[in-house]
Amino acid sequence: MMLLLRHLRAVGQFYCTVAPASLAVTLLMAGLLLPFREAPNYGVPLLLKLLTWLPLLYLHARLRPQARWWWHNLGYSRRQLWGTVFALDMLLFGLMLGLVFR
Amino acid sequence: MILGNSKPAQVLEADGLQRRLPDGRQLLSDVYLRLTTGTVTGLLGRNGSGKSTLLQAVFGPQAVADASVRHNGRYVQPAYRQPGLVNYLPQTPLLPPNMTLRAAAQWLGVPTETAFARFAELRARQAEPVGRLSGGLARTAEALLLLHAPTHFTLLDEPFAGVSPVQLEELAAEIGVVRQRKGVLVSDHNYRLLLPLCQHLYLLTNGVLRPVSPEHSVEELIAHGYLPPTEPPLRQYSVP
Repeated sequence: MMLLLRHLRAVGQFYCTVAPASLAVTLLMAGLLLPFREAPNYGVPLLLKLLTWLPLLYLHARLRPQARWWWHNLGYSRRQLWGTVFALDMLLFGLMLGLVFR
Repeated sequence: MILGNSKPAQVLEADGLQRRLPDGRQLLSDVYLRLTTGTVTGLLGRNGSGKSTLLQAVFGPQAVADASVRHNGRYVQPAYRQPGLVNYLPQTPLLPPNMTLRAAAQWLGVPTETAFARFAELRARQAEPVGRLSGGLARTAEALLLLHAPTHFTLLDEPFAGVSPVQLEELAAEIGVVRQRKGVLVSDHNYRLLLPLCQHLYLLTNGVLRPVSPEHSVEELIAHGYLPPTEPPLRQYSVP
């Protein structure tokens, strides 16, 4: 239980370094999709959201090149952190799509 | 080998470490490194000789071809994923600037009273974000937190860089105390402070890790071209 809580805290802390950009993309797309809510289309927004991860990963590596050592010292690999954050962010995006197209 | 506190010594070994740069230069050439708890190992080398690459290869995230890292003979790669085995201080700032020292200590499982026992200023400022501390003070705090973290080994890459002289002496003394229960690998250009601390010393030159005798270190380092021939004798420094 303690390990799970620690993992959630670590992921939450790492997500805070990504969330301003990734949530901004989600909200922006929500705004753009609102006029089309009568004709739901999940494929295109999902594809666009997935594509925003490429510049996000690139910018994160450019702007915070040394941040990874802190996470490695806590025992986390980049794949582990990014994988969890990606899943969390895409879940939030899915919820947003559900709200817009309901 | 049994230490004074009767705990069996832990051994961290890395071998087969090779790294070739894009320009064809061999940075690491089949390097073998052995660390044991209860000792401080010094790593010297010119700028760009591959010291940081070596430390990162042992720690784990730096992928190195044919590398083998073992803890007590058991293959552990990447080493940083093994709980309680090793931590690493990079050359660059480690702690997130918006995190307080107290929070960082909690993440690493370190009691601040112990880690900062010799450092009144750090004790007084442990509730402040790391970003508000001066570079030297933050560096000292980072090194102390890793040294006191519950791991068998600590790898320190230039821990003395930017630290003021008084704190340097205290930090060196702290390394001498901590090594009684863990293995410490220190890479730093401040060899006058480093040499008296070390039980084992290596010089990384032309991709090869050469053992250097701690008794004749200055002479050997001059002979290998790391120190200038005019280097004065080493000042005596006692570690508690």
